[in-house]
Amino acid sequence: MSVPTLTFVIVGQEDHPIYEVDLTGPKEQQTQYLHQFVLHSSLDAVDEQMWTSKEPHLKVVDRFNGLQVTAFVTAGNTRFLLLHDGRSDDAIRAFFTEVYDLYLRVMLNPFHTPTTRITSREFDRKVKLLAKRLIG
Amino acid sequence: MNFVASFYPQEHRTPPLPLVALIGCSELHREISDYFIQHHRPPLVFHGSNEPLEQFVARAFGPKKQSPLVGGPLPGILKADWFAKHRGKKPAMVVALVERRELDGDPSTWNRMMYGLKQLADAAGQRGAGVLVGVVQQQGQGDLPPDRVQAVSHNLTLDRRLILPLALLPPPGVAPDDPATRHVRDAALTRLGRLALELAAAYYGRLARAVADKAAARRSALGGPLPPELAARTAFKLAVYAEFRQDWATAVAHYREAYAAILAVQIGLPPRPQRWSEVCAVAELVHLKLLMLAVHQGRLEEAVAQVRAHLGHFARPKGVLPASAQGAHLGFLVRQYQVAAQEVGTHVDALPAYYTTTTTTGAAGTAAIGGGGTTSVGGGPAAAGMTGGSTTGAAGGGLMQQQLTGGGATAGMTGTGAGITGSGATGSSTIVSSASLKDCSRAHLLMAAARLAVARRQQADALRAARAGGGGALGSGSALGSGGGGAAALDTAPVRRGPYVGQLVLRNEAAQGGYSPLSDQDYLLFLESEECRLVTPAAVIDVMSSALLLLKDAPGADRLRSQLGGLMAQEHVLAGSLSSARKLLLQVCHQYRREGWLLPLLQALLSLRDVAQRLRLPAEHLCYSLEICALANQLQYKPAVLVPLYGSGGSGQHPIKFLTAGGSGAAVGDEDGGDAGGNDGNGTVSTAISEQASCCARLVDLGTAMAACRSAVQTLITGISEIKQGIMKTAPTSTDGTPAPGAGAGPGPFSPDASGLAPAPATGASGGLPRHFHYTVEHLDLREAQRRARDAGDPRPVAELMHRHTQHDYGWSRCVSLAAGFAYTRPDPDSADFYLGLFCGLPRGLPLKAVVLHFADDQGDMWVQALPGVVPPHAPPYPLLPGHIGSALDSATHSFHHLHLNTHLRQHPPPPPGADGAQPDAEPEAERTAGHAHAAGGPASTSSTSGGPGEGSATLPPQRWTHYSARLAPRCLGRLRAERAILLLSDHATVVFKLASFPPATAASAQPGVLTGPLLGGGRGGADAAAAPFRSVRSSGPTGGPAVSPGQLVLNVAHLGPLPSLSYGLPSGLALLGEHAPLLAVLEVPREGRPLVNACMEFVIGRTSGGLQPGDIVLVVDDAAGPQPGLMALNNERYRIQLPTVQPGRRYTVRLWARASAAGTAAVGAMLLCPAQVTATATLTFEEPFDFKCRMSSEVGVHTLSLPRLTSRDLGSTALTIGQPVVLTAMLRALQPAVVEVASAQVALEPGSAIRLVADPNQQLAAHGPPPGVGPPTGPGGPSQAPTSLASTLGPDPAAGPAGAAAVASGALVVAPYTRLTKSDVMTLLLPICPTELLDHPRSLGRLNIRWRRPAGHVLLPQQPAPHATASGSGSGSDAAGSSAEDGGFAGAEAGDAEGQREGEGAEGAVGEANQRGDGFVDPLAPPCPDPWVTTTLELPRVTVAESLLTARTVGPSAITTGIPFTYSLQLQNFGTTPLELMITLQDAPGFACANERSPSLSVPPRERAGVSWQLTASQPGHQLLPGVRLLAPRHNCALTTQSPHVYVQPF
Repeated sequence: MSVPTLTFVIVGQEDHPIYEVDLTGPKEQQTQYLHQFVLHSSLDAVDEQMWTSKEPHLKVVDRFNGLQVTAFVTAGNTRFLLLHDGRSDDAIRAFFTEVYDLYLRVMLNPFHTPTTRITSREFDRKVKLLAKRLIG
Repeated sequence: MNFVASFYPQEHRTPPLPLVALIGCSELHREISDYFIQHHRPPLVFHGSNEPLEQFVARAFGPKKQSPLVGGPLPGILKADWFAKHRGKKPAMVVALVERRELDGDPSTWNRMMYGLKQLADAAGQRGAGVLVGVVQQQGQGDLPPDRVQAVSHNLTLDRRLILPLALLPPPGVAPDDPATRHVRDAALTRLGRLALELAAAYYGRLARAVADKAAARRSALGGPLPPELAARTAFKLAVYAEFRQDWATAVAHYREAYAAILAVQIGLPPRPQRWSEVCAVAELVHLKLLMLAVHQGRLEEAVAQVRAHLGHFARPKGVLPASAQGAHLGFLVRQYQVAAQEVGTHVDALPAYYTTTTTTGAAGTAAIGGGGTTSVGGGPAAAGMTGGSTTGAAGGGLMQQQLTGGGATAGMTGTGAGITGSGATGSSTIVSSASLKDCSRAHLLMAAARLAVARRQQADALRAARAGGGGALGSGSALGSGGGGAAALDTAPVRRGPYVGQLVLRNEAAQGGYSPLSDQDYLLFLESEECRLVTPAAVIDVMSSALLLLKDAPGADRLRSQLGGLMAQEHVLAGSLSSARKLLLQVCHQYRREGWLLPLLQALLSLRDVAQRLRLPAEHLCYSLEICALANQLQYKPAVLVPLYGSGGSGQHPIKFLTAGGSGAAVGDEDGGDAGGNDGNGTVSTAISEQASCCARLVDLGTAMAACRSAVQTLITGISEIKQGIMKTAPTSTDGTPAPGAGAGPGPFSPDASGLAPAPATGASGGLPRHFHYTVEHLDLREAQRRARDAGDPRPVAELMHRHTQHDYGWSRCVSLAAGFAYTRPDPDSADFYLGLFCGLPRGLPLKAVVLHFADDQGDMWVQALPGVVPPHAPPYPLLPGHIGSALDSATHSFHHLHLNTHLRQHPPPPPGADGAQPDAEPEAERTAGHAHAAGGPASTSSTSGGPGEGSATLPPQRWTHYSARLAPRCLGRLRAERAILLLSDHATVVFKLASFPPATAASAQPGVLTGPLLGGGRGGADAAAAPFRSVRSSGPTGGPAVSPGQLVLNVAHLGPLPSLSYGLPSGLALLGEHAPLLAVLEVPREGRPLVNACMEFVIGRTSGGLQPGDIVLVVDDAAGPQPGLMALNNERYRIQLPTVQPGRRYTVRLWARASAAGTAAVGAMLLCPAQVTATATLTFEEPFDFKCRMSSEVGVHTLSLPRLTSRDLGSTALTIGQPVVLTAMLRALQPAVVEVASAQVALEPGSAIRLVADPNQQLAAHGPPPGVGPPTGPGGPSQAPTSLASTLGPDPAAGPAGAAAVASGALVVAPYTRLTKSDVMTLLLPICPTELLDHPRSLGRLNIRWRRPAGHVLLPQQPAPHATASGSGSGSDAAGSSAEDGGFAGAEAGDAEGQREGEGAEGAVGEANQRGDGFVDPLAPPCPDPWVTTTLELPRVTVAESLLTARTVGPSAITTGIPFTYSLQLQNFGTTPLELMITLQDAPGFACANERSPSLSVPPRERAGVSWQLTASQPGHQLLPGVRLLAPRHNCALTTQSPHVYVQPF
């Protein structure tokens, strides 16, 4: 039985991941690499797509075989990337919106800079809950 | 690269064209065939034949093979030569060319011609082919004879229009190339082409019907649907026939039908390799046709859907193929991806970001297939609309897959093609983002092809390995196996392509037809042989090169390029081209490093380390080993992300566990195959990268990382000659499955213990290479460097750009990050503190023998050793290292100097036992030890000392910030730059951070100076710690704020030693407006300071208030030491004077005078530039000296009747009348508590105001004021200068009299000599004037200039400021602003010190002893000084002058007695030129009675006088007011009422 793919990454302004979570289950090392490669490569597509859309939700920006990358770009050029295998776009949009709210709360922390990794356990917990509720 | 042309024959990659046979007149064949290929549209293939007629008929229209309707299993799906046969051998029609003379000839010729034509027509008619008779004739020969045409038509049963004349031959005497001839010929050929197309279409239509009928007959015979193979074959034939007819829509429908049937072919489970290959080959052919048809019709969405479906279906067979077949299948997939990239990806890339597409609704699609479903070949469910446009969004792949795999066909089996186009479908235009097609872009498809090529190569490697390990069993018993045991020597020569597409046969002379089918075993053996022979890393590199070539210039594909570069580097490694691999990997590492993607970086680094090992680059190998260790350590501390949401098995595992688990296999490949087309590449791709991923497994858990780190650190200590030897001993081919040295389990072979080699001598590095490890961390902005290189026309790759620098990348900063900066405040002006923060990212400590800092200033370089911890507050500057030692430190060959360096470095004994982070402030400097950590607060502070591996050296603790600091004494003024930080790890290892190359701060780094802030992200020692590397270093002041300014690598040394002090001496009293208020700017050099040389001082007017503007102030500076000594007047400008050399302990005073032209407050700033800036500010308040009032009065009783004015009367102006004398009374009152000595007053009447002074002011005017002062001033500018200055202000000639005064309208009033005014004293000036001209608009009378000064004894004196007790180190200077009372009190209190300081003043002091009074004041009048006389200008009132009509004057007696009548008269004088008619009214007065008429009328002639008299009698004694007289001039509408004087009425 195949394991569904659902990996969420927040990529900071300097193109480096500041938060990543696998929302489905443990992956093999090859899969981990594959996901990292796909997500990293999709940044090219996000950079290209974000200039053609007025909406922060960019929908599916990249595909790799059966995997799709849906992106969300904040006003501060932080990118939310979700690697999935064909989830509902409406659900993903709702998930992104909720996570953006959480992200803004993190950014309100005066000691947090846009390039700092998000290590808040509460943020992690809430993201997982949102994923389970909206796109799980 | 044209993949389609290289992979497929021409008949597959080009559309089929109808084949027309030409027979007869062979000399015309070439011309006709060329015309129909090159000029005719659509093109036709005319194939001329020179064969004998019988032979041609037998070949082209021979009897058809009969096949049984229902038989056993079909031998194949599609005949391999079927396409070629119909495109090149089986003509759709024949064109028989006969000459005109044959048609017109004699009976024998006619009969011969008819015989041949009859034979041809019969044969063609049997096969359904068309026949057309072309009569070749010369142009202009006219129409064919009708009887002969009728005869031919009748004999051949041919339509008459199929017998057409072909005027192909030019008329006699005309060249064939004549345009007129060509025109006629082309017209004839066009007619021929039209008929040929018609006949060919009918032919292929008949063939299609025959095929459909045959299929229907077989279906009825079978009683069910056709077998999939037969259905596929039938649909394929129908599609090809439709293509021949150029009915593209029908062709697409039938190709889809064929594709669906192919998918339904039973392959078996597990799949039979041969069968699977055949199905794949047929599907590939149909897929190619579908792709090309869709693309050429502009249906890109359909093409994309077809690509997705095709790749989805054939990505993985249902079941497990043998290894060799799996490899061949991967080759098939590579080809599919490459073809898709060329055919579809090119068009996808050309799409705009959003494009319009037509979406077909589902109902319409269903309706469109209504007719076709009943006759579908496959018998499956009806498909959705075939031409229904695109699907959009994420569901596109799946939906289209359903469309394609439904198995139904919309085209009916009759092949008519009706209803294929789906014209009934209702489409709607939709704007779709091209991102939904991103997976079919060229880059992605070629990327996937590259991965699959890697997987295929891996499969081939496995096959080769298996064969080398005893694979002879594979070939035993095989027909192909020529040898037994060991490696099978395979001969693939007898294998040929089979009669059906995708089949192979074995040449066998004994078999029927010379060929026998291959057994499955032989087939696998053949595949294995081919895979082993053909699939090499070079072949994979070819695949990747085509992709890389495309991505090279593609914008916005940096990351994809990196990914491909990583894969390609692996193949280069396998192919042995290590340099190419290294270049690629360097770029890849740079990309991942820069963007902080750790897992891909880890993978790339592992590969790079292997390459460095094989390239015999021990230093690089060591660097990468350390970085890998640091990276693994950082991944260990990755936060709790990647912890799965579900599942329990891996919830507690760390990512590094996934990396290091190893042997997990390609589990992704086990995904459900029926999981739509989305997972097509997962398994293969995972397999493709499995090898790369498995190399990460060499880096096992943290314990292994620690061991590898320990080994690397040991190498650093002992030198890299050992590691070099270890590398030399390592087999270069140990790339697969061999643990990398130094990073495998346990200590690597690089460690001396493991390698078993004795440490090499210090100078005897084997191979001539130095044993010293030297690494320079230098920032290189690659993007900028690339841009510059591109602008210069030098598109070098990134790797070459990096090679031009000292090191390849700054990946070392992942191992040791560095932050540096000068301290915010200097402990004293003679020293500067520099701090260094080192963060060790390795899993274990790093030995650090010493830290040497390299500074540079104008005098050159200097090196100083930094000590751990913070600098004690009162520590002296550290001694500099010798220059020759320091300069050798940053060179690569300085191991020799290390021996000498050891004698200069401070030795740091190990800390006492139990000392754990002692407070640095509490211990003397001498006890500071290396590795002695600064642990004062802060989460990321350094740790305590841990025992280092080297004797006498310390260890940089892992995952913590360690602070080193140095105090140095600047040698000269100017910029002091921190150039390098040299970390001496051991006697053989040095790491140099080129501080000057790093940008001061970027947005990426959370704080300036943190060189690798973002790269450290994650983990306890990550970005949070990097954000504040000096957070724990606090200043020693009471505020305790941050002490270090990270990123400040340049210190501007503005001064050496204690700063001089600068203060102001303010005037002792109040400064009056207009006078030069004296100031003193006193510079004092402390005794312990250095001589002040070449300093200068700037003065500027600062903030003003109270109505005073900066431009109102003139600052006079006594520039005594300048090139032209003297006074310099400054008005609202910055002025700089040069100062002489001032020795320590001396003072230097600059005298200033400030003169303001407006009242208010101003700040006078002085700035000493030495070149440090010391500032002082004085606040001066200027007050008005005088209060000034003016009154004007005229003669009593004289009134003037003036004409009314048109303009309104201006406020503030006095109306005068021409010729009427007026006395101006000016009153001057002293306002301030200061004694003022007025020397003179000068009236300067306005020249245009037409006001004349009545008399010589020297005689006529008088001044009334306080009594004169004690005498003329005794000052130097006093009596001797007064007449001169007075004369100079009197105007041209003070004795010129009234005429002269009137000429200049000015005059001077010499008041009583040196009249002194104190506060509230009033001085009055009388000035009789007479207006002489009209003045309609108000104008000032002029000005009154008062010349005054402070008398002797009351001169305003500046105070000498109090000397500074101690030298102030602050550069902000002292603010001398304050009240004068405070300054005076302070000055008096410090008089003794002032005396002492004055003793120290040298001759260069501007203020000498003689000019200084004993009470601390300085005489401001000592030369040179500005003029002490002040001229205050007062404005006289504004007046208007009007013309007088009439002057009225009442005249009465001076003494009146009660009851005695007296005469009261009115005297009038008309000044005008017209007579005045006046109505005169004597007004009532209570104490007087009038005897005659009160209101007479009177006419006054021009220039005449008149008068009216009244007899009045006073009734009451006492002071009475005489009655007024009112004059009214009705014609001029003006009136006048006289003001009567009071008289005293005596009692009778």
